[in-house]
Amino acid sequence: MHPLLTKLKERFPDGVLAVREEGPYKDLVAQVRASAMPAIARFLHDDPETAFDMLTDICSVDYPEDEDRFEVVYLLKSLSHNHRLRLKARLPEEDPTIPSVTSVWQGASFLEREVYDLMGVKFAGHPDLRRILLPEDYEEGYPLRKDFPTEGRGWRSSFPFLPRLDEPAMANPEGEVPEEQQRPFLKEAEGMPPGDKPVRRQEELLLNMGPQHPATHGVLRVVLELEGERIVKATPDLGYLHRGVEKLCEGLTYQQIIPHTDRLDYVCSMTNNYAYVRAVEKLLNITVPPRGEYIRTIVAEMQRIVGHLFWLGTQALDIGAMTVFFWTFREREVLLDLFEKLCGARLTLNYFRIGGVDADFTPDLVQRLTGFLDTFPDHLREYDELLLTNRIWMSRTKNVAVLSAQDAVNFGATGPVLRGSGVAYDVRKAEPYGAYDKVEWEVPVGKHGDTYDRYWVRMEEMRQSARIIRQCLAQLPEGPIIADVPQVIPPPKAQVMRDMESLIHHFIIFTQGFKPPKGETYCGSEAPKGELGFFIVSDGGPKPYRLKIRSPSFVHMGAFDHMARGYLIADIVTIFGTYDIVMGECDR
Amino acid sequence: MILDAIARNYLPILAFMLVASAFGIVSLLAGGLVRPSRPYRAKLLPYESGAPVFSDARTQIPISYYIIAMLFVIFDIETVFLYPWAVVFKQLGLFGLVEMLLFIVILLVGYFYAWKKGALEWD
Amino acid sequence: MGLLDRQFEANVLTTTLDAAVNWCRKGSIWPMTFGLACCAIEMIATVSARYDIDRFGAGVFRATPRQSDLMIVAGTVCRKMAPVIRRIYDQMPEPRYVISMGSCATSGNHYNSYSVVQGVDQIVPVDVYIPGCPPRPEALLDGLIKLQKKMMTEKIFVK
Repeated sequence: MHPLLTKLKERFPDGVLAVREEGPYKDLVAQVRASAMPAIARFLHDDPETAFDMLTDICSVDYPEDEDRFEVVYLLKSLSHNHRLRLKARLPEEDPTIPSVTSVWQGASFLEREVYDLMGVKFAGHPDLRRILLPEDYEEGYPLRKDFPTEGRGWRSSFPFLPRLDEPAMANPEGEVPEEQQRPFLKEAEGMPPGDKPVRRQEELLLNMGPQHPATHGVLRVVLELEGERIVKATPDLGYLHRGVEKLCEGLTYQQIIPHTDRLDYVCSMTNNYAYVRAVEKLLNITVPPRGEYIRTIVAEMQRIVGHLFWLGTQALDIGAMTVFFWTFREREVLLDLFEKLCGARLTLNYFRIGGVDADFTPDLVQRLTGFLDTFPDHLREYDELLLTNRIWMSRTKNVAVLSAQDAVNFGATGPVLRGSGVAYDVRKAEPYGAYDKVEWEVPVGKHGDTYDRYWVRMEEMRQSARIIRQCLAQLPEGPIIADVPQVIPPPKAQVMRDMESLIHHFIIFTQGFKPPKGETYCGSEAPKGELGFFIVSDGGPKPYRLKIRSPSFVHMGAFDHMARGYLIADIVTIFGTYDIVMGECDR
Repeated sequence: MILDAIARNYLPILAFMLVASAFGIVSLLAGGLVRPSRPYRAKLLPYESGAPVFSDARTQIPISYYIIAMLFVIFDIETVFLYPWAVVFKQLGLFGLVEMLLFIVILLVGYFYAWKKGALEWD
Repeated sequence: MGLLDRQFEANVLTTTLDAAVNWCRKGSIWPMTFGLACCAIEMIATVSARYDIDRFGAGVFRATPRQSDLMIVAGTVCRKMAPVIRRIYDQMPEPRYVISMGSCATSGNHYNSYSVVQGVDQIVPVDVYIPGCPPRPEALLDGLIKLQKKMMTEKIFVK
């Protein structure tokens, strides 16, 4: 038994119900009592031996057959000791309330709101428990419960907001939002009991930014409370791209889910595929052959370059440097051509398969990729010439949106947002996968946690990605690109046409789907935006019982208000860019 | 003869003004006659990125905007005064230069006062 | 205003005038940035240097509906976003057009869920549908050309 688990059990003999090490990867799991959750959370956060300073995710699972229907799962991570812990608490159906942990990890705020929104579990002590992904007035229920149909309940027949075209043409001068609905967006209303009226100063203006806005990357709505040009409070309003992917995936087989993962972070879609298939392979305990691992690493790093080029182009465009936008998209087109040669699509690629990848590299592709790598450092130098020491760029990005290291970890930030603040945490180095431990590369880490540092971190990451790709291409071994596990992975078509057993495997996989063992697993990968993780609960059937997507953009939005206060309106656009949010994975 | 001089100097300006206003008026009129006009209530609502409008924009504006606007107007008019002086600069000679420098120095005193008082900062 | 709008019988003068005004309108369509999801990335790629939508006159992307002619709905239409789309469509001045770009905007794509509207034509009238997930930039340009052909058939002076 892991010493951490024994220590936890000794410290909370009646709070912790059971501890175990689960699965072939020995995940640490503890079953706890719901009422003891805050004390356990505080202990795990503060104690120097456990030091769980980052809350990775909060997930909820619905077991309607059981007596305690809802299970809330907390995924914790310790950056200093580099271990993970899974806490699970069960709640009954009549009163599914659990104390909130927002006082320990501020990042729990948005995560708990999402669990409330989609599953109906209430968090006592949460500062602002409202719906987050669905509309505020959504009354059809809680979608992720097992008794809620995937298509929803009869809402498609009428849309009440369609206007009448014969109404007299007279605009309504007053505002349309009543006072009670304005409360969540006002700073003066924070911490006030619901009956009081917040006192607003005359000069303060409540303004919408988005969802249709050229600078909010995607459909994001931020309600700004402004005093002149200063931002007093910036409340993000999410859910304008909530497609219900998690609920949809409960009705699809594991292989059919891969295209859905493409559309999460649609700027660099193969990294989502990679994160997902790694989680399924962890569940099935499959090893990928070495050539497959190297190809996966090469493609993932190409996607990282594509993602960061897109980020650079759009952030520069927002700040006003339009030239950089056109240049980065020119680079991006070269890489998109390579992807098209590799798997047929430009953007949503669906290239990864469980156990390997779909198609092999051709010599022509390798040659063109090497050609790209030869010219890429020069292009990066061009961007540096334009931006790195540019006085306008520096005055617009230095000391803007400063996030301290402690705040970043407490909010659950990962990826360049965390590394820009000085914390050297990269999932590729902490929990190595693919070929990352076989090549030499470094993790760039910033100092001040402002926009300039995050910009610098991402530029360096592009250089390191080019370095990784070059080494991987040099070391690329021969061999199969997909594992040979016929029960799970469809055999190659040539074999299927000749061999009876392969035919049977192919038939069963494509009609019923393969059945992984019962269990649950979490697997996090380093996407360009941060740590993208998939928490899969399998009940032994061909479709996942619950699939939770830990998206870095959603967690970063939790820190948005904290990061944006006190800056000017012109800085809000910079803050959007530096967070590098993609609404596809934020809203799912 | 005086009329002749007047005509030679100022008639082009009149023609210029007539053509400019005709261009503007004709474009607007032509567009107004040709385009459809089908207003309804939803079309005339204020635009706030598609979300429901929070408040009428006729609120009390913070004083900082007014101060910035005032400073801009003053120094813009100063620049406007520099233009005709620059046109006849050669003819005015040293006297004109010294007079313009005095003008600028008086406004500079005001500029430094505004700077030190913090009127150029936002808050 | 709009006194000359559709007032005349069809003869060679009015139809030529119609063609002339339509030609002017189709050569300078001002789209509105309405990227919702992944198709927005391909729309941005269409705007960039390689596929250059500006050579068709449609390069001036306005952020506000008040100054735009065309709304390219690029991406999935979700339930929370639907009233926003309708309101923005309402705030566009006439003549206005809608291109539904991508399978999600056309029909909801593979998202048959509780919060995806199965096609943007449930809430706004659509002129051109472009299938694909996402459609290539060339497909978007093809849809734009089809819209231009449709615009040439509009009646302005003719009754």
